[in-house]
Amino acid sequence: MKNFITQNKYKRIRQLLIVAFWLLVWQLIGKGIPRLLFAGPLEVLKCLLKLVVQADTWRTAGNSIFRVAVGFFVAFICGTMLAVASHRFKFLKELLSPIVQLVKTIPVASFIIVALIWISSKNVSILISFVVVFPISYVNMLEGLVNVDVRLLEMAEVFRIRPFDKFRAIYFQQLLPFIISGCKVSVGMAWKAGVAGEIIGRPDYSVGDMLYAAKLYLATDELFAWTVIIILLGVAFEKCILLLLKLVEKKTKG
Amino acid sequence: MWIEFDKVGKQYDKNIVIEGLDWAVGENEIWQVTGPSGCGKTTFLRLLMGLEKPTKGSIIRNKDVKFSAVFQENRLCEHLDTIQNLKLVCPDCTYEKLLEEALKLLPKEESLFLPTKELSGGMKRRVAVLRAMLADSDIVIFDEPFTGLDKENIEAVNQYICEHRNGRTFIFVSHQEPLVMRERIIVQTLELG
Repeated sequence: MKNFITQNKYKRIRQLLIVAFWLLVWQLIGKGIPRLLFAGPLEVLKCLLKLVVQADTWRTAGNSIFRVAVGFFVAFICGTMLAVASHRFKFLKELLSPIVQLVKTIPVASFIIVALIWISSKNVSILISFVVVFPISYVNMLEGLVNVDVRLLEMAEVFRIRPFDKFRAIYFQQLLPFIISGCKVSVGMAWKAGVAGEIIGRPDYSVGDMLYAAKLYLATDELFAWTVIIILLGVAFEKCILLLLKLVEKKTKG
Repeated sequence: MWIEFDKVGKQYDKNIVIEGLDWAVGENEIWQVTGPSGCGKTTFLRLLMGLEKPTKGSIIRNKDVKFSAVFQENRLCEHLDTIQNLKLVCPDCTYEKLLEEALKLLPKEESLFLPTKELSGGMKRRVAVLRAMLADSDIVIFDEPFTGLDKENIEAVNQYICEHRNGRTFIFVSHQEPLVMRERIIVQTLELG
């Protein structure tokens, strides 16, 4: 046990040293490049601290998170429902197959441009995160449904297990790994694609707009600071989704 | 009669497993299904439970007949503990009642709260038997119920099955003669193959 703790401690220290090394490299590179083009970690940190205390930063982050989350959840629900229907009706699966393939292969940038023609720039990131998440959740859910243990379904049929109990004890438990892996992949992609949509669409009070404005005024420290904020928000968003799934898993177990 | 097989046949591709089977089962009966391995005993049980459709003949069944089963494999929800597995098939039973019943076959109380995937093969088998016996059913099917059990546990399971029959129809596929058969005068045998 003591050995394990010591090993863990050394691993942590090693990781911290690696991070410190790269921060130092970043700082050294920053010394050699004009500030207008490249900001060092200290400048970024200073800018980040300045941004964090501003109410507008939180409003901006909240707006962007909200839009991406709406796109994500709507896509997740649609993908799940259509996967269930496709699993039940083979014809629907065949019918949807080319659309899903098409959505998967079309570049996100093309979607953003087309979306800007159809809808207001404010809602582009909702549509873009939907477009990114939908095929992943649909395909993953379908794959999960195919892999549900038929023997357990037969057992449920013989014992006449109630539909909700059957869902929570068999379907949900067996689909959960597929849902989690789908969420892990799509949540980061949805966030990145949503921000890309905001950069092109530039709706007011969005992280994409802030990033674009920073680039326009050559405020590299702000550009980097917003990038850090985007990364942190992306990680927080992913953690929240996974936490939500864990809570649902816990709730359905009892 | 609850269920009647009328010249039932079952084949997979060109492989004929059951052919021209006439058979019927009713209330309060005990049946032993025998035959060499591969003769279609499990297929017969699947047809009986409605998990397969016959390729020939017909099966007439009373729609109100309720089944429970000890499958050849345990088919437990392995992420759930014993009590949760039992609760799935007896949703109206109280927690105390399930605990009391479970303790009759699994005396170590702490094992009842472990996910069943963490139990030994013999313990899982006993949970599967408990589940079949506790579920509200008219016909209980036992497909090799003593698999993986030692002598002592076979005795305990046998005892439990005998004591909790409550006039239900039992259908056994077992290499070992269950105690309940020895105690009853009328045991009918269906020989397949």
